[in-house]
Amino acid sequence: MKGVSPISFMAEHPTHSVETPAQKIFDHTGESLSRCYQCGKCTAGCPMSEEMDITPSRMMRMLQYDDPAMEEEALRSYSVWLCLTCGTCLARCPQEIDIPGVMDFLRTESLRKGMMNPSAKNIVSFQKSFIDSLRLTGMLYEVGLVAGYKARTWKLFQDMSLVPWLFLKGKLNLLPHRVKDRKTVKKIFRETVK
Amino acid sequence: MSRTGYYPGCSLKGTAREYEESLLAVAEKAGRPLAEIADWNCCGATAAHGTSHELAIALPARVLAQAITGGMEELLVPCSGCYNRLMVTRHELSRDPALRDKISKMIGADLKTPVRILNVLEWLETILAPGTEDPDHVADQDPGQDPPRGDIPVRDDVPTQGDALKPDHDSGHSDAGDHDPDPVRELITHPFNHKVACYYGCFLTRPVDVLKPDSAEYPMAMDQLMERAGATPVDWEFKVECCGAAFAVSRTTTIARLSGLILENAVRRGAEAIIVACPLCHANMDLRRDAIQKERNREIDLPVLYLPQAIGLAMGIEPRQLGLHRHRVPVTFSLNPRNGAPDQKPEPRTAKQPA
Amino acid sequence: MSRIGIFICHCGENISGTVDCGRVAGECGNIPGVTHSVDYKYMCSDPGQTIIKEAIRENRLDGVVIGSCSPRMHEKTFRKACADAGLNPFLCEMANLREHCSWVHEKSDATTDKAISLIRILVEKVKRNQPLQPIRVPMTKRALVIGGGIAGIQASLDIANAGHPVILVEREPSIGGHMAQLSETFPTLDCSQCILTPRMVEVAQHPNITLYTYSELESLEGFVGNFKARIRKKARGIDESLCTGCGLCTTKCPTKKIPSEFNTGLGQRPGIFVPFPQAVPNIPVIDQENCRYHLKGKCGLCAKICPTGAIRFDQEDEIIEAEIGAVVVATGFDVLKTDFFPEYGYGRYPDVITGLQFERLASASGPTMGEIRRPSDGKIAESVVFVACAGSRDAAKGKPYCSKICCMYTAKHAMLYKHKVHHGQAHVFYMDIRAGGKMYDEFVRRAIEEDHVNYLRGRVSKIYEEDGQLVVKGADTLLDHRPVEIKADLVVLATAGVANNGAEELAQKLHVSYDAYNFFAEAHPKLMPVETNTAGIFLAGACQSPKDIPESVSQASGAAGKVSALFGQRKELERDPMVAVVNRTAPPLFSTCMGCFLCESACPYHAIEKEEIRGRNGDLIKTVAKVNEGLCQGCGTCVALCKSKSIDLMGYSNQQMYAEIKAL
Repeated sequence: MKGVSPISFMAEHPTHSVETPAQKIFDHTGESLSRCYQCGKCTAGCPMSEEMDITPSRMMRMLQYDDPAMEEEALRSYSVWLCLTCGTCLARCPQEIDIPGVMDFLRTESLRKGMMNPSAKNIVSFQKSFIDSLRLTGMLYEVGLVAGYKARTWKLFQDMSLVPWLFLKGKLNLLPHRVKDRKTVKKIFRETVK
Repeated sequence: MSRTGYYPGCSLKGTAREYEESLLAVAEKAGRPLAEIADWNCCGATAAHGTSHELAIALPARVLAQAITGGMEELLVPCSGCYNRLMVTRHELSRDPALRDKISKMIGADLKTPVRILNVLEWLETILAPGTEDPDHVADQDPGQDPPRGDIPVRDDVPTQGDALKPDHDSGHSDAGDHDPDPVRELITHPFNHKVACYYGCFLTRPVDVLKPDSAEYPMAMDQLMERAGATPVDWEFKVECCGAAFAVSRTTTIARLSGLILENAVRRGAEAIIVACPLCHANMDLRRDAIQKERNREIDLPVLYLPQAIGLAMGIEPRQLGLHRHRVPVTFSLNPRNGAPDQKPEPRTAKQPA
Repeated sequence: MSRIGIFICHCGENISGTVDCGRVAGECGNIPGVTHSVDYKYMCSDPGQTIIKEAIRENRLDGVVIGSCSPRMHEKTFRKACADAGLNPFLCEMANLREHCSWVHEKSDATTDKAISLIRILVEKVKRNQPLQPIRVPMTKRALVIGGGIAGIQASLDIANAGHPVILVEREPSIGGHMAQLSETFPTLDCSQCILTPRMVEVAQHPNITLYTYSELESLEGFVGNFKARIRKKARGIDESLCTGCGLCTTKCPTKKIPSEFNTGLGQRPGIFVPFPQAVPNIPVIDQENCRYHLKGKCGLCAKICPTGAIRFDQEDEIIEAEIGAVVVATGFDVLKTDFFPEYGYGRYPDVITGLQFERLASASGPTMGEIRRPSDGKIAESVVFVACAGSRDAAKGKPYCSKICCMYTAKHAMLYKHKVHHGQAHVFYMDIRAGGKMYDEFVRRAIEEDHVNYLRGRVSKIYEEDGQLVVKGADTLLDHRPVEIKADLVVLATAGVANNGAEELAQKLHVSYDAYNFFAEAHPKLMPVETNTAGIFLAGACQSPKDIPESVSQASGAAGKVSALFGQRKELERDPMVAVVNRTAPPLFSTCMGCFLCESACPYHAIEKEEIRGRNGDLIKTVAKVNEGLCQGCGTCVALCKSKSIDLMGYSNQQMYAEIKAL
């Protein structure tokens, strides 16, 4: 914990004009992080915690600080991208904190500020390719998605062995389906994705 | 009579097409054809809510609007991922009228008309409703297997999935029930007499207060359906653990670890098949089997069946019609008709290495 | 013209923080009929009371209004001060400027104006107050103690030793409660039974104590000093006067495999049984739900074998009525059933047990004779995980409160386990260690430092079975928030302490308040911890909130002290005279009461009686209602219902109420 400011933390009741991390999360998700009493049950049950750099309960603790450095560390973490939003943490949290909701918010913030963790390149690329596919057709077009993902990650040969098999089994459509009402899909993306 | 719409979602038109094939085959055999809603779009899946909260609401909202426009009172959403997104969306829209108005304006459609969203368990329950004479016969068969109940505190008056499963709800699907007191006996001609591990995963159970499963940690709804289909559900530990979900492409090591643990526990408890209701779970446990075997350093030949595939087999539907040939891990069950020749032992399942 | 005095209290800053007390005193001095008006920092203090007394004497006041806190808090104080100065205490009224004004409003002129209004309306009331005299009622000096756990035992003994008769009612077949189930007690590791059973015997032998076990309170009516209790003595199936407690019947009973309640389901008992060898009284009970004779009409083996012929299959419940002066409620607690936590698998895995079950395993008289064998296969547990806060401090699925006793008993469990299985591994998952108490923290440190119990800070997310062992998935928040997996033979959940079943029903029978979790509510959290809001009913032990043994015993002695103090008064009890009265007028009317007796049907306290008015020759002129002053609680229901407006409430007459409203 570098550069921890004196006891000006424990956000929720901001003393400065700048929004604290916890306040921002409260404004966007309605989740009050001061409810977290650090029992660690989320970390204990998280299927990803052993792969994470910052486990869920530690992430909650970091965000309780009124410290921009700590916030940035959270946004730059691998964990925000490793969260599968499986919801196990919320289902068992004694304080009913919507951690998947908080993680969603951190992901969108990390994207917005361009603070994505370099190790998460694959995951971010996959998500971007997925969204591109949606933006284009209104549907998930699996061939397009995988092609876009491979172009982004240069993982040209990964999974290539599966492709002919999938094709043979009739599981790949070579041409995308499209939503006819293109206007609405475009409008949705225009108004929600900044 | 209420109209039931059907929203396949993208996966059922692609990598999970056998899910759709088996679902439609079961629907036809049960005399309950499904009407696909018009010009639907993707629900946005995990990628949308990792990108923008409003995007993740607007996409499923448009699907709901398409169902409303089509005059549907119910909407069957077989893909657990889509079901989850639609349920969460409806929950958020109902608790935040300002958001509802905003999204309504954005997609240019009404969102106020209520639509009942059915998952595949609830829909199959209306088909395999137990006979009226003995509605508890499933529970009676093996009370020892009943898990502890009452684990979910009731948060409001929204019915739980368990409630929806009761045969007497007024969905208008009681035609079959009116004529025959025991549709289970009539439809299940080839009892699925195998041990199965029913896998619910994340999207059918969480968030608990939105989806209201019969139990957050040890659900039984699918087990009860499979029991009615003649199977013996095993008592196992990974019913609601995560398979790795959306990392199917981007992080196969995680899939191998998480799905491997699930498969191993099912094998350990003597399951001969694992039953799923989610294309992602299926892809992770079936398509990614090579990686799983490598990671667990052992051979695991446990087949993964979509719930309608297993029910379809028990209804005597041809395996090919159910798309069983599309699996990576071969499925080779041979089921005997209920009233056929004296009890034959089912042929041993041939375990083949995936091609 | 009245001569009324106004006394405005600042209550430190509680009132003066938002109300301008000086202005209130000033402006109230101008209300017609007021001759004296002052303010002071603490009116309830000794100097404050002196101000009131002197003002009454010097100004010959005939009424007093005090603007201060709630009458609940200090009405007695101020009325006594007035009485000391020679003013009838019922001519003193309190305006609640704190709860009704200063605490609920911002500092403003309007707030001060409201305070003035509150005083003004009471001035109008006091002008119409009548001097009243307290009602004297007789008192029964006999106590009823409900619950025979350690708290009930202690309270009974203390009251009995003060020379008053006690009736002790216990729901179970034996007294002893949860303490009888415990193995050893923290922080001294005394054997629980060794210190408890002598007390149980003392209860049974005490000449002042009448013990009813296997009995429950059916109803309680009346009021302090004059309760009437009805006790249901459930049919034991035994003639207690003949039974010698030889126990032959219990050994011959063919129904043997009933889960033993005393052993928390870990052992079995027969259909006719004594819960444990040291039970008081040592008289068996026939469990009618499982007895072969009661189920099938055949058997009767116990009756044949009983050397004294004490078995009575046809015995019926008996209702015992008793006059009671005061009640001590000591009904104890229960532990949360862990089906609240399906992720912990309680009920699915026999080796996941509660702390109370561990007590039985560790008890020398328990089902394993004190050896830590796991329930599934009887194997000695080589590794045990203890999970603290299983249900406590969990607003989502359990209880939001801290159950207070779990930190200590978990440390004790881990320590006992290490003393019994030296090579075994003991792990404790905890969130915080709450060990406030004499020698408590030292005790926990001893478990960690001397017995090498591994304390991990974190909560457990899931427990599942694999290869005959339990896998406990937890986290260590002190080790970089790392997930941790421990394999264990036995998992002990420190489940939350909860109110006993039936607590809510009992509270309603007793007319005492209870909280959201069905724990009985004390009259004041700090200053009246053993009293309830109902006079004459006191609390002891864990029925008020989870408590350990020393605390339960202290509170029981406290409650007993209150009962003894009450009984130590004169023969009669004084009550406030705020009761309903049916008016009487001169003949030939005698009363405006028409004798419709609507009031009788409405009165919740059965306080309305019939009075026949007869002429000189004994002819009945009319029958009118009459209020029994002893029973009337002054609720006013009859006043509201009376069609002919013949009933009024002393101290709260219709005339006084109208005057208050008009003054607003």
